[in-house]
Amino acid sequence: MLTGLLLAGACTLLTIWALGEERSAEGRVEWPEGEAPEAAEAKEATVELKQCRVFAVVAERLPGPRENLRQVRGILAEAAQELGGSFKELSALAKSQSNWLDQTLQEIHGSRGDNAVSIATLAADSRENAAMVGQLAGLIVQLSKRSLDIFDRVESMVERLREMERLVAGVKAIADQTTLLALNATIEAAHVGEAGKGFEVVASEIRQLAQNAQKVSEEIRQQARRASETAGAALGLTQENAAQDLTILLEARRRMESMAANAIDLENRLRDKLGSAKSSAAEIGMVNAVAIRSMQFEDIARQILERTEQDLTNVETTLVAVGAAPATEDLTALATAVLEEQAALVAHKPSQESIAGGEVELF
Amino acid sequence: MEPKHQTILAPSRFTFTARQSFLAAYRNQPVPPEGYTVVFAQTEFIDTAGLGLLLQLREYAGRRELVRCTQLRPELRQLLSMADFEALVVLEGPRAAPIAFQP
Repeated sequence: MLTGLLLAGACTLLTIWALGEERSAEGRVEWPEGEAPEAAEAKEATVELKQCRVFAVVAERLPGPRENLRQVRGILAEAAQELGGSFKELSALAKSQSNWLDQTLQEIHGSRGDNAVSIATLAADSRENAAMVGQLAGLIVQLSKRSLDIFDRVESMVERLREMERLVAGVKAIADQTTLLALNATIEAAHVGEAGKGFEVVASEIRQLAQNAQKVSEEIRQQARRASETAGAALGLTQENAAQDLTILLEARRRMESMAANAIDLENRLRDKLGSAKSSAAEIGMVNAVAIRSMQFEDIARQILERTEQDLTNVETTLVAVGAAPATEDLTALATAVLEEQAALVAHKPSQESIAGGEVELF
Repeated sequence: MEPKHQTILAPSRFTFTARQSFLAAYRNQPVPPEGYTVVFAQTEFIDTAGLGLLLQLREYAGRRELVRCTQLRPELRQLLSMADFEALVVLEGPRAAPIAFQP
């Protein structure tokens, strides 16, 4: 529609200029020969009168296109404002996203300087825990070794207690033989008669001592056996202490190391993804900046529309002036004068013809 | 008699049950060996008692280089490494694969 209006305006102006050129070149229209000058002048006055009416009619129609132009300019301005708002909002969002990504990257790296837990810290903690599990395993093995050392010694003690039992059995055998010997001595003393009374007393005492020795030996044997049994029980407990399965600890350590490896892998993948997202945000910002720069089309279009409106006003003013002028006046000179006067009033060249240039704030 | 290098074959389960024969293999030898090699080719399981037996052997031998544990399975070598046996005795056998990212 805009192009149509511009063409219509241009045609009108061209018509006026063409008429003006024809008049100024020859000064007067040539009429066919043989026609009386008076008649020719009357005819010319009639033609100019008709032209004046045409100009007036055309001038009356011009406000319509001008109003259309104004509407187009309004719609354009409104659309440009909305588009510009959207682009600015998009720009702010992209900037916010970029800041958030920076912050997240810092958190992942643990470079924020506060107490925020980073993935790297988690991985380091997991490795440390795995190493501590190893130390724990070492301690348990040392304890097992000590248990085995204790086992060796208790076992040695049990061996000695058994040896003691054997020795006590020897003592008991000696006591038994002594008892028999004392019995024989008593019998022999009885054979001697009164003279053997003293030997009989001594033999009885020896037999008593031997019986006591038997009792003590039996008690020692029983005690040694009990000690041996107690030591045997201690050996069982020591054996249980020494034998622990480390497979669970090994599995725990493997999982912790695996967790550390997974954390490192996660950090790397997150860094890659966030890096890609950050480049995307930057690209969005660049594209948006280009879009915002392209918004200058509205300014250029507005200036062109304003110029066209001004041209229409000029044409209208000229047509009105020409239409109101008396038929005898030089209409071409009048139109030229009015147009020049209008041109002098308005400096309407647009400041920018292209949207390629111009500065746009980038983030 | 010249001192010799003593080789001991560990059983399939190197636990407390192996203690008697293990001790007999290196203690009270008429001539003290110059070093010991424990072969774990048949061993599938070792508990802390087994590791304790190895520590006793290490203490008896006196130096790390004098005790070699050979033909260990990867998981058993890993177990010994976890308990810091690398520093105590010489370990020989394929290492377990390093723990990496597990999807």
